[in-house]
Amino acid sequence: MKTDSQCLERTAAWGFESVLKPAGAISKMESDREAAQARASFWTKLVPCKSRLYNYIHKSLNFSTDADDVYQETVLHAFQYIRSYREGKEFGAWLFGIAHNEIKKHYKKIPKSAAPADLERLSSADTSPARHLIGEVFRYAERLKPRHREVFFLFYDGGFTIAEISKITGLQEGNIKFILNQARAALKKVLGESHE
Amino acid sequence: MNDEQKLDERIARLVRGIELEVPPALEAKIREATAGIRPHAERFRLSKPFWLAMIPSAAAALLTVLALLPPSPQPPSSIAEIRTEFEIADKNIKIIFFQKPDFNLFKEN
Repeated sequence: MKTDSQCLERTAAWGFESVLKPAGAISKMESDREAAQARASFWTKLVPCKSRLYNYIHKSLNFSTDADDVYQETVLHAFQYIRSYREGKEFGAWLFGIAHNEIKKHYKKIPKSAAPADLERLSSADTSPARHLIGEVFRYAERLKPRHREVFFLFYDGGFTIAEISKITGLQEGNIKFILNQARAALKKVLGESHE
Repeated sequence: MNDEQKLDERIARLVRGIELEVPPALEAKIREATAGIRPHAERFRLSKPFWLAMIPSAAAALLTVLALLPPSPQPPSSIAEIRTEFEIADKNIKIIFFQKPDFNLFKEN
């Protein structure tokens, strides 16, 4: 009667070495393939959101010099936990949720953000009055509490709905409406009645 | 379209008046960093074994059960002796009776 080791030896001698790969090696290959797929899928999903995400982080941090680091941390964390993202759900909201946590972490480390950036330089508006108004809006946002500022930019810059902002930030919808109403009231005064 | 929506649109336009692009150097740096990282396989990965995380919960459950249990009734203790004292103050007399379980009232000597 042939033993298992004899069988293996004979099979190897016939040139079937490749068939005799241990189960661990096969599962590693599959895991590598899955990782490569996850990597490719992640970058495909990120492309439409990355500019919006970059702007959200920069604006929420008052154009701080640390914003690039926060953006990098956000993308790396999202990449690491891409498998926790459920297909069919909005990728943007999932990604901005991670960004929100990273911004919170940043404010825990550095409670006060750096000096405000030169808004006039950053503005893409051609006319001087428009630049002035943009400056007014950002100066208002700069005075807000960090959490309120995030809500403000998620709504006006990110274009998220109140329900989505609630999921991203964990705030109640009523609180978000209150923050937005305060912003409307304050900016209505600043922008004047010319919004009609 | 009501006033609030118009105002929202105007604010949104002004907010989007400043648009930043992701610097190519930063993007390249992030792509390079992700090349060395593997996405986590599990949805949530615990840093410690699962059973270790269960120990405090089990201890808390045990304490709750112990706290909720009614106290066990104690068995009635047997009386060792009954002591009765009488004192006649003006005569300076004190009479003490001891009743013991082995005392037999009708015992004949």
